[in-house]
Amino acid sequence: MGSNFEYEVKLRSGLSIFPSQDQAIDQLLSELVEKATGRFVLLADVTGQFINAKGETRKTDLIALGSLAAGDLAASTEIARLSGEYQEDQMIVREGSKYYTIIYEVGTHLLLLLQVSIEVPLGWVRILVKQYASKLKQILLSPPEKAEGILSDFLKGETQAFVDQMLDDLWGEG
Amino acid sequence: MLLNWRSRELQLKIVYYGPALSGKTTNLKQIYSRVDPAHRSEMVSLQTKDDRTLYFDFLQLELGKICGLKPLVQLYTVPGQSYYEVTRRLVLRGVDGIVFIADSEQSKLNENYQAWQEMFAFLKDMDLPADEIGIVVQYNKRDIPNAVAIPEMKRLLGDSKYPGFEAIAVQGVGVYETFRAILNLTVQRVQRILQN
Repeated sequence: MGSNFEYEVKLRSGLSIFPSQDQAIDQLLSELVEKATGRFVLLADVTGQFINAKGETRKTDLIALGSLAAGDLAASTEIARLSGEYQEDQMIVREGSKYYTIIYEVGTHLLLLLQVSIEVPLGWVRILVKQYASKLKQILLSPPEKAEGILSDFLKGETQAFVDQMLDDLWGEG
Repeated sequence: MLLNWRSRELQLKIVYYGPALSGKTTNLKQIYSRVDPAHRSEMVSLQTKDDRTLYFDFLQLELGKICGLKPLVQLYTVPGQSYYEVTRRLVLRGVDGIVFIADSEQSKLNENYQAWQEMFAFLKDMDLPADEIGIVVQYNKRDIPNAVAIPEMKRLLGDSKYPGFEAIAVQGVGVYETFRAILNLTVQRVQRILQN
């Protein structure tokens, strides 16, 4: 595994996305939504944390969608496990009246949600999703960059005073 | 935890864990109602018809900036009923901090104990050492007439070394203090991990 994943192991449950990876992900998702003539595509990690989205996203609560997609994928994976049908890279296809919603496990850390018109051939979309998932995995295997400087304030800082102050500012009477 | 170096966003996952009807969703509802809407998402609840948590509740908060990083805090609850064991385990995936909500009612002591043991068993199974995760305990429902004394509840939870807070979550009492404690613990833990 690349050294990026050494970093990840250290974070246990975490994932670190460096600037060049973020840009590459941005470009790939734009390509995918265009090629699939999709409504939108969303990338999240399997614990439910939203990473990026492209397409018609203005009316969609992407943060909630990321957490729900992760929940859906996790439940589906457990169903597969319990019923003896487990395999890596699980795919869920939801057929709506206007759109297919496809949720696909990208390696062990990420998931992709793509919504496309039901007029687009499903077989084609499945192939496309798998291709792009493979490309996304490669991006995350790329070596880390020297981005430590970005964190220097955080690493040296006394965080408690900031956290307390921010919460005090946000908290109302209800 | 998810760290985006370009946007300087640090996403943290905090899970409210505990036995059925101990007040996990109530805590989230209180946070939702008290935080400025400009700094929080809508609350998502996957519930049964009788308003019991089926899968999880979810809420995200944006906290401004801490020493150059922008933390986004995702709050989850788990379903408390015993038969949702698999679901609780799934929600714990990738957790950075846990608030254990203990029910102060005498009749719930055993359920507190079971949930506490189960939580640590899940963390162990997932190779998430408890000492690498921020954990705080909230002793909820302190207003009920037969509330169990705090020392007894602490003893039940193995003389808990984790910070504890008394609460009446339904009135909002203790909710803020608990949340502030878990957030501080979680941020400090992340800071320590990144320093190493």
